[in-house]
Amino acid sequence: MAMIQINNLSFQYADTEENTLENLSLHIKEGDFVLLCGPSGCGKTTLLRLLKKEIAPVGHVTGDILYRGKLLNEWDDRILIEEIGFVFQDPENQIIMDDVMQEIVFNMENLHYSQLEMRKRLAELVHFFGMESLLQTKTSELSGGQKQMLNLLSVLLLKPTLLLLDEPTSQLDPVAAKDFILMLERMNKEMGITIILVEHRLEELFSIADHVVCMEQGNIIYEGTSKDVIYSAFQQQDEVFSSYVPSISQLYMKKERNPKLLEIPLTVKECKAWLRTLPTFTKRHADAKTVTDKRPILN
Amino acid sequence: MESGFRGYHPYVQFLYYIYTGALAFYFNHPLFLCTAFLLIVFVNISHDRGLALKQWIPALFIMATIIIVLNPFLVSRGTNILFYFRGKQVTLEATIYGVTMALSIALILLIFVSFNLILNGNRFLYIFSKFLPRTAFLIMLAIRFVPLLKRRLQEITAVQRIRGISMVEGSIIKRAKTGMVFTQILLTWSLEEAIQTADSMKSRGYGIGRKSTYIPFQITKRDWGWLLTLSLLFIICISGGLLGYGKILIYPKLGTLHIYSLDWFLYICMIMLYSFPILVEGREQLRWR
Repeated sequence: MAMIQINNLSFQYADTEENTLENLSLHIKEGDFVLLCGPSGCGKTTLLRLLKKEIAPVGHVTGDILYRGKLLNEWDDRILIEEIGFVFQDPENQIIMDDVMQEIVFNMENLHYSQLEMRKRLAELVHFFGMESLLQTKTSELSGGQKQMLNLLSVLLLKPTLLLLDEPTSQLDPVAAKDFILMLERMNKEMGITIILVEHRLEELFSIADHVVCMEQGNIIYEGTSKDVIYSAFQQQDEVFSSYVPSISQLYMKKERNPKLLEIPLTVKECKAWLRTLPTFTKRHADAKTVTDKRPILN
Repeated sequence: MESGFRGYHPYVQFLYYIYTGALAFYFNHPLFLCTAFLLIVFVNISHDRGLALKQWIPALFIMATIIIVLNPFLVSRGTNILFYFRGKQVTLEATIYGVTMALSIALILLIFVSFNLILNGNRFLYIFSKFLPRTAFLIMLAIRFVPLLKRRLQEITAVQRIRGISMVEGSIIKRAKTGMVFTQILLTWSLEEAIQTADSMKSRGYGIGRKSTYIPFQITKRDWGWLLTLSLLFIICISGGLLGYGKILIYPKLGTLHIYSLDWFLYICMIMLYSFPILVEGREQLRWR
């Protein structure tokens, strides 16, 4: 059974004429790493927010969203807060308390967990994140990357089964963004948390994601595994979406005479393996080797 | 575990601030006030070597000077006339009253500086969330906004300066206009971000039920001991004050500044009450060095 089932969902913001989401259907399996992408204003954030009941945008909704086979509105508030976690775009605005420690336990305190339970969970996850040294600092003194990690940590302490992230790395530097994505990958692989990620910086995400959903004007246009999406975007010569594809796969799709779906490279490793199969590359590579060998070591 | 004064139960700390705050306005004998002032300065130094105190020194100094200088010129009650200023009498009583008032207010301010350092965040919530849960949290958020706005204003100023818009040059009208624009940017920006913060709180389950606290505060024997001692000292001070000790008569005619034996007794009680954090920290220092 799908974890999230969206059937014919349409959504219209209160003061607009057009539908932001138009008759959208989507199934998400438990344990999947889902990547939601598309140009600005295509409705991906709206879709993500509709999945979190507490912060769902106000407007006219038709169609159903089912979580584990039951409508979102039929679930108990408390269970939904625990099971569906949300990390926002801006690292700073979602932080509420002054101290890192207070911020981390904020969620658990709100849900009235017992002392023992809180301590157990904290001891486990703080260590996992390597945040022990930061517990006594002020939240305002953290870097953007640390702040976003803190937000992720405080959401994870509720042991969510579904994690929604709205462009979490858009305000981080590339190094911190990479760390954050790696952490998400670990969460997905080691704890089996289902992740739905809205993101613009897609280079490394295609290789991690199990399921990619591309949206345009409130509708899904491509959906499937990373390779499916890349293949169909290039098949239809879609200029907009071809540019979203990681540069490695773009190179393959543009240069390979007869690209095959299963051979689309997503990582540098796969790309190098493909390059080695090219006749021109092997020749040039050999030339380059001999040239470097002739160069004196010291001059 | 935190050591020294910070290690005590929040209730004990809160009572300490209530008692000292009350006494700051209760006694008005200059000797009492000066001593209390010095003790609170030492208390602040014992918290963080006076770092927080340092930021307040200029404001404190200016405020005290204004009160001391203005009071005798605005109030002409009293019998001992020092001199006439534009046909109005400047009296000794009003001067003394200005001094005691300035001391009291300075004392309260310093008590608050210390309060802020000790009863921050969780402890504050712990005390007030029992009977004023919503208000306590609102106050917490409001307090958080002060440094936040300050930081944002600095950011705005820095960005606008690069664009050539600055508050430090040009005519006064131009500067005032720029200032207004900055405030407008600051407020719209902050309001927008406050919505995001509210969303975050909602999505993390704030307000769906009773809150628990992560740090367990337990009243120990030591806490009870100090609680009773402080209360006893406070009661002695109050009842002594009711009999007129520790106070001076200012209006209509300045009374004697003479200190009687019962005054000395109250004086010592007050010193003990005020120096509770210093005693605690001192004992800790002696024990661990």
